[in-house]
Amino acid sequence: MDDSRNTHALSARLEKLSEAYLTRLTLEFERLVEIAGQLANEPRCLEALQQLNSALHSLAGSAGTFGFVQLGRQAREQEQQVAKVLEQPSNDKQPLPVSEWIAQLQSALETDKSQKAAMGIETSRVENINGAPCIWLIERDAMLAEYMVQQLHSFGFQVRHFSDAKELDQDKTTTPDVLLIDHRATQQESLKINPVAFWQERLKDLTCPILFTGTEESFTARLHALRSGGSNYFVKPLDMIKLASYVAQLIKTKDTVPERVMVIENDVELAHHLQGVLEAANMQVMVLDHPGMLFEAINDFNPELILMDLWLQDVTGPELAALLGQMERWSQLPVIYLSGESNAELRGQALLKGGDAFLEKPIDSNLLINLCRSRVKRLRNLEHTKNRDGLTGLLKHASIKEALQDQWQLTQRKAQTFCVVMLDIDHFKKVNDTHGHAVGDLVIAAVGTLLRQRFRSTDKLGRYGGEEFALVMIDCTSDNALRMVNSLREDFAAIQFTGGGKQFACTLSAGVVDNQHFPDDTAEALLNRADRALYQAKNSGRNRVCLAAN
Amino acid sequence: MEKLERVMYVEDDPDIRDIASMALELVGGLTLKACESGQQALNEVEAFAPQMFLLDVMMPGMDGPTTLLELRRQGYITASTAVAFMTAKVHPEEVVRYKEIGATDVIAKPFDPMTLADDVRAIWKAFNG
Repeated sequence: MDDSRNTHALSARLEKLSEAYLTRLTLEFERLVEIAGQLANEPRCLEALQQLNSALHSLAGSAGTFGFVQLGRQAREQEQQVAKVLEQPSNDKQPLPVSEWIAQLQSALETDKSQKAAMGIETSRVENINGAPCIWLIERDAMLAEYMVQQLHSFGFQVRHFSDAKELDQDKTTTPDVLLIDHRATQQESLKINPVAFWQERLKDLTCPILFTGTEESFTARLHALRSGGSNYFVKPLDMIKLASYVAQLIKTKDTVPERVMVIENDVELAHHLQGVLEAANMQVMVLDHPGMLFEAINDFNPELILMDLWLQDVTGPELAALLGQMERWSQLPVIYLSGESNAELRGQALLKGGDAFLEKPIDSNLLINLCRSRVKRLRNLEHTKNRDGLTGLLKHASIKEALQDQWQLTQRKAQTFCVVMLDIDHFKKVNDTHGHAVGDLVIAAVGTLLRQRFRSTDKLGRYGGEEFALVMIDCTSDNALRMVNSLREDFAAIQFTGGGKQFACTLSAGVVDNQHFPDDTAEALLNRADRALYQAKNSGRNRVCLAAN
Repeated sequence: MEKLERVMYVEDDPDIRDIASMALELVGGLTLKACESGQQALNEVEAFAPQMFLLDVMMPGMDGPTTLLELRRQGYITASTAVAFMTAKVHPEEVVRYKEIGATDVIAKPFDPMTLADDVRAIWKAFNG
């Protein structure tokens, strides 16, 4: 038999098996209905719950193989919920909506039937979420890969999975935003001989950030990853929430605003030369000719760094630096002196009065650019920690309220629809009580990462307090807000957390209000309405989003 | 490296057993002994002398891990025998636990019938590599 005939015969047999499986599914559904009936009479019946668990487990493990991928996924989610209930003390067992589940399974089956073309599970779901960042994952362990794909997907990334590094060659037309590699992810012999050389060669054409994963936590493993071109190394077992948060930040920092640099220099020609060099490196530059105008100019331009001559007309650089240091707003502003001064003692004195570094004339362009970038980056990080909540990277309470106020005022002058959302993690106290505060913090951090990942950079996202979040969605109708928050809610529920060796998932509730329906409301009143809608969501059963009613 | 030929496969679900058998025999060209329980495996292992075991984790009566321990106790699993679990549990911690009790690797369920044999051979190669 030649190959194509062989394959053909094979797919025919596979198709037959899949049909047979479909008949069996009918029986499985009948069985589920039976169990549902039993549980309706006696919701805490241990035996029925165990039967339900085993029926779902078998579906979860088999459906995908026969091409019913959605059905398998759905069954797995439900199996996990049953497992949770089985662990609860018998008097506290929550009743499960089994009939509703059966309907969900049936609709998943219908979806599969209509889409069924290829057999087997697709580990890389290539659902093209518009503009969502794409991660390429190279991981040999199929099981871990599936887990990682599912988790990263929950955080709003597209993921393409390769099980061996050699498959990277197959596609030279697209590039990922981030590459995530198990440092042993190939069967090729050359990896064993010289791993660093192997990866350098393999990855030399890729310009995106590269992260390595591996089981060893050692100096050598990290150094190898670094030399192989990796910007970081994550140790297995992987903390997916930390990893996702790291990747999200990595991608976000790619499209940052240009650095703003002010140049104060006696030598006009040199000043314009510096301006040219820095502007060519995509920075914004302002040249200040008269040091006496410093205060006006600085408020106007809002620089993130000052480059100045050590000796200016009528005033010295260190004097200007000292003046800036007296003002709270500018006391953290980095200052770099440009000078021909090679006297170490004089330099030391200048730095004591204020200022951060010296650049010696003639100035090396590359050094100048790099120094400016790194100082501005450090300043931005500092600002970030000041206004942002450390755990989530979202705006702090006061800042999100301020952002809402600003937006409200803006719409008083110029009509624009915006939405206010209040969001709260369900039963959060129980997470803290059961798994401890460290795990609770992880859950909060996951909401932060998910929000930053799923919402537009123009939206204002804040941690309102504890496990409560407030969002201001700019130029957004209530329909759109509901859709986005609902999809966030579903993604969040799909994230698996680990506490004390056990897996669990969390849900969240939200209240949404838009300014169009309540034109007379103040910012504060809108926030209160969103809050009441949130409580309505909580009172009607949680894990849902409610819209504030008229 | 010894070529992988004889694989003993233990799975209680008849549909899964069928499709996996087909995948391993027809697609993969392996000689397979499919068993419906750990007990059947224990009864037939001596005559078949497998180089590798594929064990479903969750089975009524004797589950996969128990089957593995029993096979090893009776001397049918030695340093040159590879063992892979097949399971729908996806958490890495579970994988670590299975490896601790002696599994060479774990195959995720649902598996793709077209690539199952490749996965099995890759595990065999890594085991002997």
